[in-house]
Amino acid sequence: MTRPSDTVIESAPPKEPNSVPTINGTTTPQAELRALIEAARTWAESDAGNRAVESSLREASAMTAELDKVRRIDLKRLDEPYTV
Amino acid sequence: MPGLELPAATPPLEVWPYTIETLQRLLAEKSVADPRVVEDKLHTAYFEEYFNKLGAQTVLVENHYIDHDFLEDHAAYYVRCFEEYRRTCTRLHFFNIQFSEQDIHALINREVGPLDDKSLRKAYLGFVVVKPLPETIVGRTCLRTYPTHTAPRSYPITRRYEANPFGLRLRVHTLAFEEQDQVAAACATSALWTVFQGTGVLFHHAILSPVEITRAADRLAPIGTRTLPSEGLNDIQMANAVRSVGLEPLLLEAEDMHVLKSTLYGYLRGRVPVLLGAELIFDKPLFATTEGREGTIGKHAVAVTGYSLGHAAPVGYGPSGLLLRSSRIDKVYAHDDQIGPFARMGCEDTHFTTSWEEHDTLGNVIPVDAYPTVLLIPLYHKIRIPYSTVHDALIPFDIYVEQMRMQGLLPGMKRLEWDLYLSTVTDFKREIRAGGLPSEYKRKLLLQSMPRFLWRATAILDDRPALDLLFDATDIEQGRFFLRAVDYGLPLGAMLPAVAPAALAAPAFHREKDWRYLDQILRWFAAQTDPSLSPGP
Repeated sequence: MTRPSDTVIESAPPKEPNSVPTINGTTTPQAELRALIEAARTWAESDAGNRAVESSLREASAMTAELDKVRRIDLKRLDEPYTV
Repeated sequence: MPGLELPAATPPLEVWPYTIETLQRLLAEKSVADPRVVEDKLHTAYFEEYFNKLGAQTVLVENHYIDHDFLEDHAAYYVRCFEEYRRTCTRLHFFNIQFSEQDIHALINREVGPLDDKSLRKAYLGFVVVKPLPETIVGRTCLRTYPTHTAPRSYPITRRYEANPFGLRLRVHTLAFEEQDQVAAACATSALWTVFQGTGVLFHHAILSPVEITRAADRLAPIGTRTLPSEGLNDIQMANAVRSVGLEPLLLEAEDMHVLKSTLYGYLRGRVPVLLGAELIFDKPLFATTEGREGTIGKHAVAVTGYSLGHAAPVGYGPSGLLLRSSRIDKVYAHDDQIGPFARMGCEDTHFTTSWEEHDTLGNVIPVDAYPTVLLIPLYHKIRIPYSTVHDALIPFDIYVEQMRMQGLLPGMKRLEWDLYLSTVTDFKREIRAGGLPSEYKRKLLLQSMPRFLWRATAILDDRPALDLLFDATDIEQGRFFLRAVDYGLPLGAMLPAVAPAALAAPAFHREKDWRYLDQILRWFAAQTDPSLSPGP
C-alpha cells in the first residue's frame, strides 16, 4: 500500500547541479545557506554529530519515562462519584 | 398549584431594561425560586460580571418557551411528581442596545419603527432559559463569548445556535451551558451535556438531554444506588455515557500541570472539548465553614471549553527545556455548572483557582481551589494516536535540533517553540491554501492525500511558523505515523535533509531502545534528498 509520504518522495523536485534541494522546492539557495548546510552535514557525520544523536535519544527516553510515571492513572479513584 | 404556574394573564413577551436587579427578579418570577435563593446563587454574581462585560442593555422575555432538554427531563421525572411542575420554561434574550416593547412589536409586525432585523441580530448577546424549579433554575444558556481580539483568549469549541422568538431570526456563536438540577443531572452529567454540544456537531452524533446522559451512564455501570435522582457519576460512568453516543473515551491522569495544560491545549485547539475532574479544596483547610465542612468540598467535574495564552513567554519543560506553546496558558475557561459558562480557572503550579466561594463561621469568604485528577476526552473512534505519543515523538527531534543550534549551525535562530495540536486535513489544507508558500510547493501539499485527523506540531520562530511536522492521528502507535514535514523556507528546513542521512547512520540508533520516533522523522527528511532512505512499507 502506498503511504502518503511516498507520494511526496516521488514528486520531489529533481536535483540540479550546484543546488541544494530544500523540502519546499527551493533549489537555488544562497551561497551562505549552502555553506551552512555543508557545515551541518560535516557536523552530523562527525563524532560530535553521533553523540548528539545518542544524547537526543537518551534524554528523550529519560523524559518520557518520567512522563509515564505522572501519566499513570490512579485506578482507585475511578469509582468515586463527582457529587459537588 | 398556583405557586408553580405563571399568572394566567402572562403575555407572550415582555421587554425590560437590563440591570442585575431586573435579571434577579426575572429569574425568581419565571421559575418558582425564592428571591433569596436567586440572590445567593454564584450564577447571579457571575451573570452580573458577564453581562456588564458584554454591555447588556435590554432583556426580551419569551414566556411559555418549550425547551427540548427540560421537556425530556420533565417527561422522565418531574411529570411523575405529585407537585405539578410546569413543563414550559421562560427564555430571556439579551441585547446590547436599548429598545421598548412597542419597538419589538413593531418589528414583529414588520411595521416602520426604530428597530430592524439586522441591528437586532447584531446586538444579540444570547439567551438564558429559566426552568420552573425551586432552586436549580438556570437551564440551557447560550451567551456570546468575551471578545478574543482584546486578550489572548481562545474559545475553539463554539458553534452556532439559532433562536427564533416570535419569528425573529437570531444567532449566537457559543457553547451551551446548563446548571445541574440535582435530579436528572449532577455536575458530571451537566459537564457531559456541554461536551456533547460540541462533539455532536464536530463528530455528528446525537446530542442527548441530561436525563438521557444520566441513564446512559448508569446503564452499563450501575453503582448500586438509584439512577434518578442522580447523586453523581463516576469516571467509569462518564466514560460509558461517552460510548453511548458512539465516541471513544480517553481517560488520563491530570495531576501534573505540564501534562494537563499541554493535553488540554492539544485537544481543545482541535475543537474537542475536554472533561476535567477535580477535587475542590478550601484555600484555608483548617477553617470550618458555615456548613461545618473542613478542607475538601468533594469531587467536581467541569467541561473545559477554552484557554488564555496569557504568559508572555513559554516555560521550558524537563531537562531538555522543551518549549510548548501550551506552557503560555495562564487560565482555562470551563463551563462549571455551579458558576457559569466560560468560567475562569487560573493555573497555578499544582491546581486551579476558581470562582467558588465558601464562608467560614465568621462569614469571611474562603477561596476554593480545584486540584485536577483526571481528564476525559471524548474522541471520534478514528483518532487513535493520543496526544502523549506525539508529544513524546517530538522530544528527541527537538533535542537534536537544539544540539544543532547550540553547535552554532543555525546562526541567529532562537530555541524552537512548538505548537502541538490536533487538526484535520480540511483545516490544514485551508490554512496552507491561504498562506504564502511557493505556489508549486503549495500545490503539492494540497494535492497530497492525507488522513482526516492530523497531529500538527508547528515550530514557531518569532511568532511565525518555521516548520510543520504532521502526524497521522488515525494510525496505530507501532506504525509509522509521521506523515511529512512542511518547510516554510527558513534555513532549518533546508538543513535537515542534509544532516538526516548522517544522523540515521549514528551507532546510537542500534544501541538505544527508544529510537523509533526520531528515526521516523529523520528518515522522512533524509528521503527528500535520497529516496532510498524512504520509510519502507
